[in-house]
Amino acid sequence: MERMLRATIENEPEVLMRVTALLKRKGFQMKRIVMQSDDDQKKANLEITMQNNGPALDAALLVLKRVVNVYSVVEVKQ
Amino acid sequence: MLLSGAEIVLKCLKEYKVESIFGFPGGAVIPIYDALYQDDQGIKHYRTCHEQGAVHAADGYARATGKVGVCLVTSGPGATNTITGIATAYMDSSPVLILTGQVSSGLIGRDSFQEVDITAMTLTITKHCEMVKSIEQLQEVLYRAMEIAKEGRPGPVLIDIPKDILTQKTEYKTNSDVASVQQADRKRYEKHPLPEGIYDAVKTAKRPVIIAGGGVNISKANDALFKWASKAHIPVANTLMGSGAFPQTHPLSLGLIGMHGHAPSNRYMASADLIIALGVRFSDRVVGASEEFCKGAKIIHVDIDSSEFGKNKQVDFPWRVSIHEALATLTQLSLGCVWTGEKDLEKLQIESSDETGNEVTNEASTQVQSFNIPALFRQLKAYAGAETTVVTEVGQHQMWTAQYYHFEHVRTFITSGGLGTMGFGLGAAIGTAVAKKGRVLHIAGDGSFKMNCNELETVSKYHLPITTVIMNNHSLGMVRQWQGLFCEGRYSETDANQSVDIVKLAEAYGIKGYSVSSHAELQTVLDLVKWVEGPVLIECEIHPDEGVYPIIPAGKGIEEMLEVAPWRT
Repeated sequence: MERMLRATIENEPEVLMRVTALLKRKGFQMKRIVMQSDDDQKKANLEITMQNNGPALDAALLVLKRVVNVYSVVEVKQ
Repeated sequence: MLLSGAEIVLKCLKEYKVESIFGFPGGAVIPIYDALYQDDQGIKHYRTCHEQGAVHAADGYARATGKVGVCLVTSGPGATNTITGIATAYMDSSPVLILTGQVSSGLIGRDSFQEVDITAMTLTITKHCEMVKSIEQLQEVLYRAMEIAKEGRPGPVLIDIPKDILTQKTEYKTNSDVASVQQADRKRYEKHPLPEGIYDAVKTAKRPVIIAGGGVNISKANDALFKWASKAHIPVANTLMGSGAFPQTHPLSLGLIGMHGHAPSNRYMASADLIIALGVRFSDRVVGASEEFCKGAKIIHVDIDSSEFGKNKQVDFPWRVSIHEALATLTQLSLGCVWTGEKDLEKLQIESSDETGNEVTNEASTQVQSFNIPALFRQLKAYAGAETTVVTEVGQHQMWTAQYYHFEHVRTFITSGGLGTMGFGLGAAIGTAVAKKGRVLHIAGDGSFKMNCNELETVSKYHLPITTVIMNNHSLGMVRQWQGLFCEGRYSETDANQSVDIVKLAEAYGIKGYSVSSHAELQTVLDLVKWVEGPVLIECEIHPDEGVYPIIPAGKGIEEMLEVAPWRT
């Protein structure tokens, strides 16, 4: 089973870089990354799927929540 | 009123009551420097010799005051030179605003002269960073940067401004137009309710201990902490960054804990049954073997940043709340509880001085040379006084300062804790001297000092009241000590065979320098310079075999603590 997080972020490439850099540092293997902006180009939805054999996602979510232009982030239970 | 981007930068800083900034000019920020030149009643700019000095100075300013420290540098190498300083501020949660120039918008992405993608480079070491994309955004971005740097858990924010935006003009918005910026889209601080079970944990505790971390200094909760601890008679230990949060001269103070913490204090921690950790992050330098640390105790972990919970140490009660609120609640909760902290610590004191008390240990290990380390720090404290801010570099002298200076006041100890940046001290001392408008004691090792000693020029130019004390052991003492302990004495590249005449170096910068090799000589010099107004430099000759003890080897538990050098036992 894979694990997935879903986030609403500011529609800027820097935010995607920040999120992926954070996950990389916490030791996650990312399998799929999808970022799609909303109609007014201000916010974007971000979905990242990770392999299951990494560390616990809870701690990473707490760090992601701290990022200024990450508006919300949750783990999607599959 | 139409203002240029450069003028907007200065006006925004003034609105936030920024009085002093630190920087170094360059091509991309010429418009800001031009605006500074023409701005007669505004911000005082301190030009350092290197951008690293500027960012450390802004950091020192921030740590000394709690206000946002501002640093202004140019694009390319100017920006990359700040990176170590930004990471230093990030690790120690220091509110610093770094303004970097950028090449003009049309040149970005073309490997233009002095172009780097500094926001990409600093993503992982800033609380927030962004590039300004248009002159209309500039004012809002700067407001937001100042707010983000200081709110919640503080941290460095980098704003990258292309040169063309600095020369364009736009209408400066009034305060009310941008008030929304301060409110909009901000991270809300949502406090946790009181975790269930804390009440019982507090009520049933027999041997509680408070650990005061850097968060207590940052949130200025030291008075509230003092009131609660002294009323309920709970011993208080401090981390490196928590030095000064609770007076180390108080009978309830356990002093420094962790890798180089006092031996009796570390042992006392191991016997505690309740730990109240305030604004700490359970760094590996404090806990060592994480699962062994205070394993018999229940742990209440108070922090404003919930990503700290469980990061380094599993705790029983993670509690996201401001330290002020936590202390108010804990004071209520513990009404009627009276512990016996003073008596316990007194007993501890007697027991440890019978065996191998900390100071006794060190005095024994220093017979071979002229300076006795604890006595040296007593001398320095008598000269500077307890109120004076002390700034250090990183290494043995830093740990000795944390062990033996016995800090009594909040924000009087400025040091690079998390990143451990050698070369931090002189720049930070500059920022501190500017902020405090008074004498700063800068304690350095020769290794760290040489990293950024060019800033002596800045010290001299602005005639800053900094007393630099260099503990010169002609080696990289901390690494050398580890090589002695863990590499069978193979002192690889840590003994300096070539020596610098530091007194002459100081004199080259127009600073009066002294070299001493005994307590009596040091005292003569300290008496001589007591009323000197400007900078002073004193070199103390320290024996290279002098070590920092106790030491708990990295990642180990307290039972592996070495209280003295093994060759002395």
